[in-house]
Amino acid sequence: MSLPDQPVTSTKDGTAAKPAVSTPTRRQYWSSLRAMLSPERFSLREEQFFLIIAVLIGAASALAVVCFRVTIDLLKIKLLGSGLHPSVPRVFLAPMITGLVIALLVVRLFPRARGSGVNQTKAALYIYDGNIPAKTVIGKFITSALAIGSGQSLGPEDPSLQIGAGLASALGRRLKLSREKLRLIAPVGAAAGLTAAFNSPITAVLFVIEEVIGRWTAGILGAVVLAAISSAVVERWFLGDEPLFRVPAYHLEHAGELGAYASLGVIGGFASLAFVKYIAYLRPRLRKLPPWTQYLQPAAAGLLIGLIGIKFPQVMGAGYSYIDQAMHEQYTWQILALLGALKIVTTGLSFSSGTPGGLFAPTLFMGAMIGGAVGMFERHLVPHLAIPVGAYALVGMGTLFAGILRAPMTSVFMILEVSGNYTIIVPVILSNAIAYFISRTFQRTPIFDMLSRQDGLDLPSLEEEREVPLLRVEDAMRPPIGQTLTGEMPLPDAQRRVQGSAQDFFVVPVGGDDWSGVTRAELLDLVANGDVPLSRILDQNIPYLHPDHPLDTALRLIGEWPILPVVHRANVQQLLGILSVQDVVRAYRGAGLGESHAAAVAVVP
Amino acid sequence: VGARSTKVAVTVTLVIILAGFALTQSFVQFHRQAELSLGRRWFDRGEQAMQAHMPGFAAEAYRTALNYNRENEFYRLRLAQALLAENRLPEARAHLLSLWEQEPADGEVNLTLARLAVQQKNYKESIRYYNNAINGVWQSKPREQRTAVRFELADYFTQLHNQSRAQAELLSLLADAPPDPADQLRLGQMLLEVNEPTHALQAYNSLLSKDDKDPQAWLGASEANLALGKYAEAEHASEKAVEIDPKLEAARQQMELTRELLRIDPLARRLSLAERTSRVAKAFQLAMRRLSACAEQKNIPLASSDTTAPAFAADEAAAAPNAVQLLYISGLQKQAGATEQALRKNPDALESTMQYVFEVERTTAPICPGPSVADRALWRLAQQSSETFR
Repeated sequence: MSLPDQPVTSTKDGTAAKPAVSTPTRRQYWSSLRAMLSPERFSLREEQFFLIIAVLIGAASALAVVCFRVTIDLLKIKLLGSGLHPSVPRVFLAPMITGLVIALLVVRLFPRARGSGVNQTKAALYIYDGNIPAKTVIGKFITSALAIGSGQSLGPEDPSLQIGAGLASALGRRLKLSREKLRLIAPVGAAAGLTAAFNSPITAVLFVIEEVIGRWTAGILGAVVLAAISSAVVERWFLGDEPLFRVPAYHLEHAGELGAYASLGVIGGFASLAFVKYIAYLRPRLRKLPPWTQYLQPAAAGLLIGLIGIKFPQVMGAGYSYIDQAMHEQYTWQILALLGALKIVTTGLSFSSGTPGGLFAPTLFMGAMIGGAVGMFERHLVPHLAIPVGAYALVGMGTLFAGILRAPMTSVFMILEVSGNYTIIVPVILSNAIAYFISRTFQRTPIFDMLSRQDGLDLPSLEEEREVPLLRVEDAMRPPIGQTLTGEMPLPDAQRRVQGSAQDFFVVPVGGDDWSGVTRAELLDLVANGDVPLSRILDQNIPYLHPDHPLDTALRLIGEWPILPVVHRANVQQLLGILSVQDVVRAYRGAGLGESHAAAVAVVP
Repeated sequence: VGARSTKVAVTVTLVIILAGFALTQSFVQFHRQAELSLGRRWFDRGEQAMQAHMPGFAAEAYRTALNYNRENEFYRLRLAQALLAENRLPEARAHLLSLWEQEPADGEVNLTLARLAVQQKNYKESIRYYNNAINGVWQSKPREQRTAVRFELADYFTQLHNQSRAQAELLSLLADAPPDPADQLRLGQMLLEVNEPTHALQAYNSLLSKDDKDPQAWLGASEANLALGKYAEAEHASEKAVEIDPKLEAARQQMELTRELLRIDPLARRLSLAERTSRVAKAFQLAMRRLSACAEQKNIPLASSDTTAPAFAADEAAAAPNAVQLLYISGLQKQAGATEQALRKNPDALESTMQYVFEVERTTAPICPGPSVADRALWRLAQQSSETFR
């Protein structure tokens, strides 16, 4: 945005003088005001405009998600009552009857409301040019609120992410953003939505970068961060800035405790694996059932969850209040372990039945229960140690998040952010890393990729992309045999040298940090007086590469040059090799990248 | 990006956001009110359950209240207290530590943590939290609250038989001079319990200086004087207590005791030898009668043949009859030398005779309840003698 031009006079010494002051007439005043507010004055580059839009998206998403969360709470009170232990008729009937309503809405009105919000946002980014229909957003809001409020074992974060993405998409379309920006705007909204759902902007930014966009670029990162901050400010304005969980004080008293956290990582890793395999087994089978069963599947899931909920109401809904109870040592280790196992069952039922809702909160619930069970069991084994069960529950949440959702960085920062407890970072990293490793080893495809493939969408797997080895210049360069000349070499000597050479192009260090290149024909055509060195004749510099540069960078730099020099980073004049387009192609072929990528995409569990 | 339609879209978006802000505000406000109302309702249920001594129900109700008002520290504190009452100590501790992290100087949180540590028999932690509570922040009546905590801590030390630290706490209280008469009375009583009669008297006198019509204070002053061996002052104080409240049975008994003490005390100063020997002889007779009565009460045969060589019993209960028998035999042997005439001839035996009397009273007091006033008086003298010796 440029400032309005001001009439400025100059003094003799060149300094700016004050503008001439005169009393403006009313007409002059209005015309200058119009000029100030004219569209031309507000002209912005699209990048700057995108950042401003990101702030607006953050605010709008937060408002929508706050309303969404409040709606869930109100529905829960209306449907299940205000007590922590709802009455049996409510537990039995609410999820089942609401399940019928949800199925009707999803099948008849909002078919795209079912499924994972994360994948739908990715689909908007990679398939639909950033387009998420407003109808989907409304449907997601209504059906997810009903599902979670009635006790289906699902969470509000995933739908919040999609609501944010949908709002962003609608705004982007309305503002007629370019196709590139329109595609990126959905993840920006997703970050805002997730921030408002979790009250954790860092987690949201990391998750969207790690799982939805898959790359760190300054442009998109700035927009995502701004949207998350704006969303956090608005969300905290309404719902306060308390961390999601309040955990009793924790200090790692002895390094030996890390062994217990490592065991939690192992148990959490296998629990994650069980959950993902269970979804991988159940969901396709339920989807293969006759279409009319889709009207009944959420109700059937609700019925089963209600039956379990009569004895264990903790497994119903998002379960945040019960996570808090587990952290405050309300349950024995047996009950905690049972609740963790039952949550796996109920969440699998709810999610696979096509009931809209997210996996984040159930994942955290399972983690808290399993972590708490491990902590309690350890306290049972070693009663003289003051084992902090709350800390185990917290670490367990991160562990299952890393194991199920396979977002290792997000899982670490999420735990720090939702608890406001930074002393726990070492156990969290250890346990998460173990769970992530186990999950990756026994389940190659991450859950979101698996779900998208079950839905017939070929979305890029960001984890698989991260695993594809990055080819570098050093993988493709070859020794510079016979293709170098020195800058000090007199022209006649150089001409004599290249005359009998089979090579057509030669690289020449011309002093300082510069390299030049010359073809044999050009060199032979050159005429100079006396023994003028080559460095004084060659005036066109060529780019050079370092061995650690990615081959992608090499391709961008190589342009029309037949070869480029590969030089040492500490001494640019030291030639390590040369690289041509053919070398790059050969390296890519040798790595077999195309085949491996295709194979990875084709894997459907 | 400069088209007019874009500006219109941005303006419309801003307007929608502002309108959404207002709508969300009212929606959230409505929800918040509903939640606060539910929270209060469940909290009230919890309070009722606590009053009905149903801490389990109360904990559940407080927990639900907390669910609707997560930031309410008081709800969490009440939940912790209910859990503590329910003896769910680890759970209570977890909630209390959460609160403590938020407000490490909160007096009530520290006090509850101290009580929890007492239940968990964690001596170090309990002392630390009690001291935190004494020096902590109290929302209402801080002085009274700190006084109450210090009393509780002194009480705790007394239970732990850590008399010196109990004394230290009580002397701190005395220095602080709690304004509440009930606290002053309690302080005096506890000072007496930790064997600090001088300071106890100070506490009672302080109370009497403000209100000399308090029969309990006079009674306390009487007990303190009695403990200090000032029987005349003790008698005077107990008489005052009876005078103010004739129905105060404890004061009446105290008066009888002090009068009896003044009447029979063989160790009183300025007694003539005749009077002293007379009192010692009477005390001896009293002790022998006490032994006989006690033996009869407990069915202990005093004249059996094997009492000359009593077997030492393994446990205390079994050892008691033997002690009575031994004392009786010893008394029979001393009887001839413990008459008034014999004592007058041999004043050196006065002390040993009185030691015997004290030994009888000390031995019979724990096993034979319901001593006469004279026996109680002798027992007090025995106590006094032990203190003096110590």
